[in-house]
Amino acid sequence: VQHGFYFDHELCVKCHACEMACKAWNEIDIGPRWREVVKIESGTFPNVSAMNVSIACMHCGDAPCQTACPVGAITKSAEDGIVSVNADTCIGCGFCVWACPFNAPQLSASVGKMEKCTFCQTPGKVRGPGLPRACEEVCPTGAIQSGPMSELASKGRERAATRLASITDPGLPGLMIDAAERFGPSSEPKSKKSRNKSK
Amino acid sequence: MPTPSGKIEIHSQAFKDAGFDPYPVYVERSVLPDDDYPLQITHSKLSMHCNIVTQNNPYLMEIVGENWVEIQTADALKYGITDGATVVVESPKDNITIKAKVVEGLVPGTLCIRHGHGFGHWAMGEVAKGKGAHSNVLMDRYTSPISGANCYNECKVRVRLA
Repeated sequence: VQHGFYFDHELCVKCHACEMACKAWNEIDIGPRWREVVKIESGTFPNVSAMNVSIACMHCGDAPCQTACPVGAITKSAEDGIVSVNADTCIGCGFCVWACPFNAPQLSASVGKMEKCTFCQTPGKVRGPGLPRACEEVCPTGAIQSGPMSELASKGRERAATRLASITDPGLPGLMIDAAERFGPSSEPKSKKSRNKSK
Repeated sequence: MPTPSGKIEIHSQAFKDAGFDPYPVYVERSVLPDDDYPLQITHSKLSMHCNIVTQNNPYLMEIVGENWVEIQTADALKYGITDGATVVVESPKDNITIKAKVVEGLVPGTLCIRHGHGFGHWAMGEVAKGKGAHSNVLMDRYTSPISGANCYNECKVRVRLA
């Protein structure tokens, strides 16, 4: 089963706690950053918006880093889909960074080899499958979730649905049923009970 | 609530008794930008650092190891400042040399300095020492007539490339 991360940019407050937890749990040196929070600004004054994105290795289904590696040091687990680098065979050439669309692999400053998010499966620091990843565990807003991709997809939809339901703009599509009841010709808001009865 | 009315007070009797306006009213700044110093300074903090106590943490310094001054795109064009350029921010009192960041989300006519966290200090702690700049030197001593708090934004400045 392919495992991975789900990230909700609307919840991220850019506190960088995920980066710190990742570093602390996996005992990473200064230099390589397995996870990084990036701020993207758009628009022109006074209509400016910003978005924060916490990025780490995505453990891609078809990992470009694996294809790019000339010595076969990058492998993808058949069991959970986690992409990992074998430090013994890695030659630190950096091809994987060029191939990666997320700039996920990081060159270790001390040993000159590639390293990246291990999905908290770092030797000696392995987190069980029932536990949250270090970044996920520390996130104060629950913006990061991990697990099997199928479960994460449902979680994401649930959040999206909750958000849609809270929008009170009747012009938005996808809320037709609810909007009709809230803003329809009848000014009296119907209770859930009477709604069910009329059906 | 420990107020005379027992409620959250919009009209403060305590303020009135002390001779102040009982409502929160707009008072114009005592320092306003002029021809010589056309910009107003504002301050902001960083989310991963904490006040003045974390600046020597190497892991936090890895995320942000230097503070900067933010300048609005229109002002940056006006003063010939590009993103990442080293600039000098001058107030009537003193000046600092700091890196500039050109941003959209700032009111034109203002500069925003990522303030504090120990950036620009010259005393304790080797990790943070000498990194970034401290905007305290730009400010004169102004305090709020009511609370006595420091008025960090009572400061007019100008900016130029270093």
